[in-house]
Amino acid sequence: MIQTLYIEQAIFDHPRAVAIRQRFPKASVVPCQHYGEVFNPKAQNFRLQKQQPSLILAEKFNKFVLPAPFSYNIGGQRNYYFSHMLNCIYDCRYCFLQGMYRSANYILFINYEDFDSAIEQVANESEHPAYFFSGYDCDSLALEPVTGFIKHILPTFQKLDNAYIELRTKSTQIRSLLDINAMTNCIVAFSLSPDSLTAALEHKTPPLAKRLDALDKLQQAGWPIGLRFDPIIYCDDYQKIYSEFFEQVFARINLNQLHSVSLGTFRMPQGFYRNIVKLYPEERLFAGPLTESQPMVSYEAELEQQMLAFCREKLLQLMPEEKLFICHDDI
Amino acid sequence: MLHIVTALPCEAKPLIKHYRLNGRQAENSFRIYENDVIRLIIAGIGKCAAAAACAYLQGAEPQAKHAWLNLGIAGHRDLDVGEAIMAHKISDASTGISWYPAMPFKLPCQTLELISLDQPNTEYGCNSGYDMEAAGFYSTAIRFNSSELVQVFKVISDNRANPAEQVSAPQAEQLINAQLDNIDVVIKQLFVLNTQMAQQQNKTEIEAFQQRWHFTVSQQHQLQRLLQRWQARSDSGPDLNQFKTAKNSKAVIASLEKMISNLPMRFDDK
Repeated sequence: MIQTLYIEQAIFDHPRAVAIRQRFPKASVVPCQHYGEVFNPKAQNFRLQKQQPSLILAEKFNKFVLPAPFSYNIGGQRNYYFSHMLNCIYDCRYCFLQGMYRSANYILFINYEDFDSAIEQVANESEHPAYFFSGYDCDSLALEPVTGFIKHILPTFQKLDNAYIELRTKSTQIRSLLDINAMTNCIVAFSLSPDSLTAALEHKTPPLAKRLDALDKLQQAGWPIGLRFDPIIYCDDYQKIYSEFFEQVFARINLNQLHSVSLGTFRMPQGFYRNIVKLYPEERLFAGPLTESQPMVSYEAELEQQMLAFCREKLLQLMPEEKLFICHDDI
Repeated sequence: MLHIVTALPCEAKPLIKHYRLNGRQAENSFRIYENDVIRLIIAGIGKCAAAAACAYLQGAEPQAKHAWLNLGIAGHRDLDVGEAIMAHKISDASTGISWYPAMPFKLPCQTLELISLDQPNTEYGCNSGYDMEAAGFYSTAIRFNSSELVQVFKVISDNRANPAEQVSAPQAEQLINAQLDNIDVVIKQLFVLNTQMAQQQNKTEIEAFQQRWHFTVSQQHQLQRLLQRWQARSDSGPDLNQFKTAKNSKAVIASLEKMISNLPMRFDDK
C-alpha cells in the first residue's frame, strides 16, 4: 500500500513513527528535515502522485485548532476544525484538496497529545458548546487502522462536557468506534451521494450500500449519526436521482439517532478550481453549468437555488427541519 | 520523448545498442544519440556537466515537456557490485541541499539516498549511494518537468571491498548491460507518466476555428476550454457548419457556450 515513508528526523524514533514503520516493512524509509521539503515543492503533479501516494510522518507545531468556515455548522455557535492529517486516501473529483495541495502524499502529524491540549483549551475557554470538525483536510476514519488517531482523541472528548466532535467520513472503518461505548458528543457523519455519482466521481471510496451498512451498525450501537449531502451535483435528471437516493438513505435511518443533516451544492474557491481543471480537463463535472465569480466557483445562482430548494423539500418529507443545515459559499 | 543523461560513454553504450539509438552528426558540444522516443546525451563527469547537458537538450525545445532519467554507476558502502538503486532522495554534498523525486509507480529495485560529491571519494560514509552527477542533473531537469518525470537510476560499481579506482570502462558497461531489464521497466513507467501528463494538457484542435475567425490569445484559451467542455459532455466534437452564421470570434464563443449548455449532462453513462 505505502511504498515510500518519509519521516521527519526529529520524530524518527517516536513510538508512533516506529509502529507505522513496522506496519509497512517493505516501504522505503526516507528521513527528511521538514515535511515541507517533500510536500511543498512546486514541480509536482497531484494527479500523477495520486496513483501511488506516499505517507509523510511529521510533527505539527502550531495552529492545532482553527475556526471553522462560517457555513461549517451543525447547530453549534462555536465551530472549529483540526487536521491531524492532510490529504485523503480517496480520490473524489469534487474535492478541494486536489486544488489546494501540489502533492497527493498523505501527511500524518503524530504529536496527537498536542491536539488534545489545544482542544481542551478551546473547549474550556468557550462559553458555548464547542463543535470540533475532524474531517476537513482528510477523511476522519479512512486511515484509522494505520493512524489510531480517533482511538486516541475520543477519550479527550469523553472528559469534555462542553465539546462535540464530528467525524466526517466515506469510510467503513468503524471498528474502533464499535469497540467502545457510544458517545453522545461524537457525531459520526457519513458523506453520501447517489450510486451513479459515487461511481463517476468518488473514486476508490466504498459504495453507497457499504457506507449505509456501516452507518446502520453505528446507529444500532447508539452513536449519533450525521448525514452530509454535500456536494449535491447537477445532472439532467438530478431530481429523480436525488429523490430516489434520499428515500434509499432514510429507509435505513432511525430518526432518533439522527443528529444532523447538511446540504450543499458543489462549490469551490476559484484558485483551487482552476488548478483542478488543469489536472482533469476532461472531467465532466467541470463541464457543467458552473459560473466563476470571485472568490468561488459554483452552479449558476438560479440553478443552485433550485437544486437546494428541491433537495430541502424532499428531505423535509423525511426528517425534521431543525436537524437540517444548509451550507453555502465558503470552504 | 525521454531524455537520458549519462556521464560516460561506457554507461551509454549498452543503451545505445539496446534501444538502437543513432548518433547525431555535426554536434560539437555533446555526443547525442536518439531514436523516435529516446534521446541520450553523454554529459561528462560531474554536476556541472550533467546540468549543462540537461539545459542543452531542453534549450533546443524550450516549450517541450520531456521525461528525464539520469543513468549511470555509483558507489555504496556495502551493497553488492551490480545491484541497482533508484534515488528517493538526492543530496548535494557541497551545499547540503536535498531533493525528493516522487515515484508514483511500481519500482523494479530498491531505493536509496544518493549523495552527489564534487570529487571521487572512497570513504562511503553512510548507507547511501555516492555519485558525482545526480544533484546537478536533478536540480536542472526539475525546472523542465514535474518531479514524477525526473528519475535517477544507478548501478553499484564499487564498495569498500571493490574500490572505485578498480572499475574499468568495460566493467561499467557490463554492469549497466546486466540491468537492462530493470532499466527498461523504469523507462516504460516514465513513458506511461509522460503520456498521462500529455493527456492532462488535453490540447483540443482549435486550428480549424482559427482558420475561419481571428481569436485573440485570451479567446484562444476560452475556445480551448470550451472545446474541452464539449468533449467532456459529448462523444463527438462540434461541426464547424454549426457556426456558419457567426460573424466573428465573439459570436463563435457565444454560440459554443449556448450549445454546450444544451448538451446532455449525465454521470450514469461513464
